[in-house]
Amino acid sequence: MQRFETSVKNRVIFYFAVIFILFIILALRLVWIQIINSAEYEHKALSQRVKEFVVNSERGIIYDNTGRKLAVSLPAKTVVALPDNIINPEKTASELAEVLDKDYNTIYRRITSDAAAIFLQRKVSEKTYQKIENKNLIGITFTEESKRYYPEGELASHIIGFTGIDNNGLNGLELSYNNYLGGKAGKMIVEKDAEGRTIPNGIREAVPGRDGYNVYLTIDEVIQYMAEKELENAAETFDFSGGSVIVLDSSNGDLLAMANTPTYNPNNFANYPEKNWRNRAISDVFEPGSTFKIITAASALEEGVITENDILTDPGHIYVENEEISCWSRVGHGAQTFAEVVKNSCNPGFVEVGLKLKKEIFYSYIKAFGFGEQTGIRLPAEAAGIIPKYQKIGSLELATFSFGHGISVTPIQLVTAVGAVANEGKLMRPRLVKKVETGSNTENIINEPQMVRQVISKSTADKTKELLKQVVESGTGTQAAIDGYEIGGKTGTAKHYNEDIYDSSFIGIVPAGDRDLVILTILYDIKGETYYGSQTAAPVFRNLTANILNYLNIKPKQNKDFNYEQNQKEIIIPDLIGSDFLSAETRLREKGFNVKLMGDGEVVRAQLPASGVETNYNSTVWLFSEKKKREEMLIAVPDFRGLNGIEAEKLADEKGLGLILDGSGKVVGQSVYPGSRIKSSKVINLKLR
Amino acid sequence: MYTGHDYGNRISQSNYLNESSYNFTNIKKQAFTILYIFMMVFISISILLYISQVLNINQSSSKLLELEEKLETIKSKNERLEVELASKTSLAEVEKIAKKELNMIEPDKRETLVYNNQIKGKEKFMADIPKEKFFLAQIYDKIISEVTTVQAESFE
Repeated sequence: MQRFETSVKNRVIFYFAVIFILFIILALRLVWIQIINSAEYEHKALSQRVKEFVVNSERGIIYDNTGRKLAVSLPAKTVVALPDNIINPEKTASELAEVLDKDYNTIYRRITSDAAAIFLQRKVSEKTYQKIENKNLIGITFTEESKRYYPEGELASHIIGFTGIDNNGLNGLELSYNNYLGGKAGKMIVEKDAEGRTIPNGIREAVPGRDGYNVYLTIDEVIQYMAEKELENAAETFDFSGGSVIVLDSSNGDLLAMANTPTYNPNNFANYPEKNWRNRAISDVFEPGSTFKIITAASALEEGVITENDILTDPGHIYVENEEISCWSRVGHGAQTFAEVVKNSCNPGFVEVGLKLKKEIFYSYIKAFGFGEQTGIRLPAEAAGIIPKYQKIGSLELATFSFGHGISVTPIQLVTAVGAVANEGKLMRPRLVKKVETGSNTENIINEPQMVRQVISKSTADKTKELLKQVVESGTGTQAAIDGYEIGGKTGTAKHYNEDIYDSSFIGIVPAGDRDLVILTILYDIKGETYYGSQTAAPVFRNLTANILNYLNIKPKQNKDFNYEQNQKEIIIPDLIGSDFLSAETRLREKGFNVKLMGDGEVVRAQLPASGVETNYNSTVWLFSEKKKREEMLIAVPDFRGLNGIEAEKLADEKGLGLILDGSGKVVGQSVYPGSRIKSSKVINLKLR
Repeated sequence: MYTGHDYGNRISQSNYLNESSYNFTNIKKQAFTILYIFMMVFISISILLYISQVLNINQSSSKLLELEEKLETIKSKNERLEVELASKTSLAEVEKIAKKELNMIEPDKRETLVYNNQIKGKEKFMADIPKEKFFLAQIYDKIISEVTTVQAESFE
């Protein structure tokens, strides 16, 4: 009995001992976990509860000049699938296929993949989100992202551009100002419970990001709309591949509108062909044609090689290096002043002027007006235009440049160059962004108007403007005239090589209060019977300008319309040979002549026209330091036919040509073909009957 | 010397003393008990209050979180509405409504009427009339002189 008791007691003691040891082990383990290794477990627990999020920064807003929002960012939902939680993938996929842009198979493949979470469709519309939300699908959840939205749709789409799915600028200002518009993403650390709810009073820390800066444009929404509308209307009337319109405030280089067709909606840019995204006003080059004559005229007037009163002759064509360059008028414009040459847009007249300018000087003016290089507008893919290399330019190239052929420019280059003429000769850098708002703590970035250079003098600029006004008043640009406004402008038509396709343009200088607006309209690749700039681009310009003037509340002048007046006085050229340059020049200027000095000598050895010739007031007299230079000068031969002897001699004297008359009556034949350029030493025989 | 009476007295004295000492500890004990109970109650109430406050704070915090979320939603909704308003009032939309719903058409021709107030010469008054009496007339004159040109049709 006692043995049995002892055995029970021993067993109890044994089990107690075992349990005690187990407890000790447990206690030690507890000490290990709670005290010795507590930090690790604490960290593990915390990392289970604490979630880290990237807080996307909001992209800056793009405003127009009037404060309208052109590009904003809105939160949008992204549909996320959690494949592990989806119970019935077939049903879920078919339900989603009804709402999303993806087909059943794609969705099914994705929601049955191995990933823990997968994006089904990013940044869906609010409607789509609501539809999916209402379906209450298990395993389908949403995350919030920021989506770019363009409330004005197609308006100014070529300027603003668009962003990709990750909110990076891909085109337009969205691309070139991406560094300013895109902000810096922040971080947020939040303590969440097992169900993903935020634990109140839990850990909540934020590393603040920086929102994108707001960008303010010079574009006026209303003028931009009008420009786009006019292009749209033109598309209904004419057969062309696209068009561009630019409205520039010449006083500060501000672009008030820059429109192109074909257009696109940046909210769904992917639905449009790539060619629609192209901002042709800055990326495409075209042959400016006659609109470039403004540059030739301004350069020639500035250099003093010509005045508006100089007589030029146009027999319908001119020969340069044995190549015939025709005028748009087959019969030619006959003898005319330079003012009339501008008015009639006469090619041979401009060729003569261009050749008088000489290669190096004309080339330097073309460069000074900003052609052949980017304007610095800060839009992506700006073209520099094409100007042949200086070494490759001969007389023929120079001749074609003078009426805007053989040279390619971008619309923005042409507008800024003509802007210099409108703005007292000051070339301004085109400005599209006025201000970048950098938030309350830092100073805003202000983009001040920038003058690139003074290209021509104020007086030349004013004179050129007057010449352009008569083009609209009574020349080739009458289709652009608006009653009560003194608009100056120039049409341009350039034919594509070997094709009956034309680029037609009109550029106008419109006085608007204390500044001048420069408005350019171009229609590319026009086909059909009406293709002249005066028939196509000029009416577009007129309608647009009328609307803009009305919108800007510029009232028409009550008095009579503009009339270009030329001094009709004729004066006799004095004999200057043998006198020194300085006194000869003073004498001529006092009499009312324009003087062009040729050579470095001090004494006048030859003059053109010769002394005793009666010519227009304020016409140019050339003074040479060497006789040879005068003799080598090439002069275009006018068409003497139909003139009587006296008229023919007067014209020849004015041009500096020698004549031998044979017979009496009217000229019926001449020994040198009209339009040929001959040395002044050569004598022309005229047959009169 | 030691006497029985004395002894008895002593006992009675010591009893008395003992009794009084007993009473004294009793009161002390009672006081301690009361204090103890009071403390317990106080601590319990404090704990309860503390817990209820913690719960309150938690509740408020979760309410705050909820409100913050609501605010975010409303803000984004507001933004969306603003953008919607902007696209609804865009010029293209206005034109569409004007043309399609209100049957408006674009003018064929714009006519500008010019009001010329320069023509009439200086009027002579027979007698001087105090100006202040014609305050309204003055305002009228001012408006007329400002608006010299009236446009028959306006883009806006």
